[in-house]
Amino acid sequence: MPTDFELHSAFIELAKNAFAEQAYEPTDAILMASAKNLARLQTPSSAFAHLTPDGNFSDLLKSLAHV
Amino acid sequence: MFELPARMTQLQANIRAGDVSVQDALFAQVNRGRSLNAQFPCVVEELSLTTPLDGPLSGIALAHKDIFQLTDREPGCGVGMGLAQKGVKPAKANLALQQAGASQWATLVMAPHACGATSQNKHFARCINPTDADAAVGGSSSGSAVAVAAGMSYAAMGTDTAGSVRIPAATCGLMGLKTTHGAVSTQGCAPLAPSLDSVGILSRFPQDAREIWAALCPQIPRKLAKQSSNCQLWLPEKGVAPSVSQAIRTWITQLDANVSFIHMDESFDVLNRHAQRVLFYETAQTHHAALKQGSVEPGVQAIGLMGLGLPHSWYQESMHSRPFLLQDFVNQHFSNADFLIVPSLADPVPDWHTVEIGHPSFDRAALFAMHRFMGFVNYLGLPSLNLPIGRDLRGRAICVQVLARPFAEHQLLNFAEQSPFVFWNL
Repeated sequence: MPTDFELHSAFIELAKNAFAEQAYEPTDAILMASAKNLARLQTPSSAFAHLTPDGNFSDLLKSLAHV
Repeated sequence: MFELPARMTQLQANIRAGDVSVQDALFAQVNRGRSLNAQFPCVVEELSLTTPLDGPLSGIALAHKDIFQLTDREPGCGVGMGLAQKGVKPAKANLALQQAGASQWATLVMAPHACGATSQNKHFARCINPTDADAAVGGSSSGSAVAVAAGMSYAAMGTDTAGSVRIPAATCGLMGLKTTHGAVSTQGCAPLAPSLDSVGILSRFPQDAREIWAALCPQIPRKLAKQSSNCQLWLPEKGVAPSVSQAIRTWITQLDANVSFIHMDESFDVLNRHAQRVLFYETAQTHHAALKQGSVEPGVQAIGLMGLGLPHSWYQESMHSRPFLLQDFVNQHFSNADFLIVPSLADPVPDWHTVEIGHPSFDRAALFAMHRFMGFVNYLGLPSLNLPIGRDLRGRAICVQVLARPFAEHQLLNFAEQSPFVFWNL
């Protein structure tokens, strides 16, 4: 099990990379807030990762309208 | 002068019957709107009326959120007065209403760039809630809610990315219809997070909202109301004020519907996280340049910076999972039920200053309670209607959201018409 410190560091690293991809240099406070935000927005690993959706989202909405 | 009736559908009937001319009806509505704006300031700009087209909404003068392009006018988006510019075409939603005969007499204030759960906006006078001057007005379609609740416009369009139609409607005791994602074109409407943005309708009465919905989406047939609906109800054990839970429990006993209680705490939590990822990421993309220059509004900055710090792969994962989660959700909640009922605001409508960022009595938890149950609906793309179902001890509205299958807006409005509680007893 990763420690709180390791988890925290991992999110800081993730946020740092994300900011770099957007060519934005965050202050330390913004970086820390973003890391905290990422920790909050974790989701369980996706069961759908290897599935391909049929059509686009709009088509799906239409297909799910009541028959 | 002609005395305007309480309901838009009554005025339509008066016009059809020849009791009042289209011109006199328009004149009366604009005059009333102007006079009420002194008491409940929410107009950004008054527009000159053009001769309306023939249609079911001929003689109806509406006001809408200042987020839509109009002929030769860019919207102010809550940060200014809008910009006259030759060649600008009206947003498709506004065009649809024009083609149904509606006129627009004013644009309405909103949270800056549609990014805020309250009406807080340093660029305009504070919005006053017509139902209770001490009560907060939700955002971001705050002016739309004030105008409708005050009687300045029978209905108003807003937009809803994470509750921006339903929250203001809930604070002002109104119907607030967030439409199915993509059902109404957002072309010509300033974006916030395009995957989540939906056009919505605020009105006092469901019948009036139906007339606007029918004009916006004439291709979707009206449905006859069912005698008795099957509903699922999710009342989370934690995080909803006892007075809100009690009001909902009382209301369902009076409903002509079969109601089954369900638990969906875990799926709600996951959906909400995905919704926030998409909201943060897309808001950052929409306002990328301003965020980098540091010239962005505080509300946009709070969300946009979190979006800049969100890995692209997380956003992709949320967008990839979206259709599968929608399919699961519909199977789970709408296979045997017509509607899913969930709370709107988690707490009673707060006093305005408790949700005003920077005010000494600001309470972060009170602000969170206003939008907690909203974003997941936008992620799923489903239609949802804010429906007043009671009053708290101070007389402020208590509301639920009613969700349905995609494109079931008419059924939602039928359900609202059958609800035993009436907030606007006019």
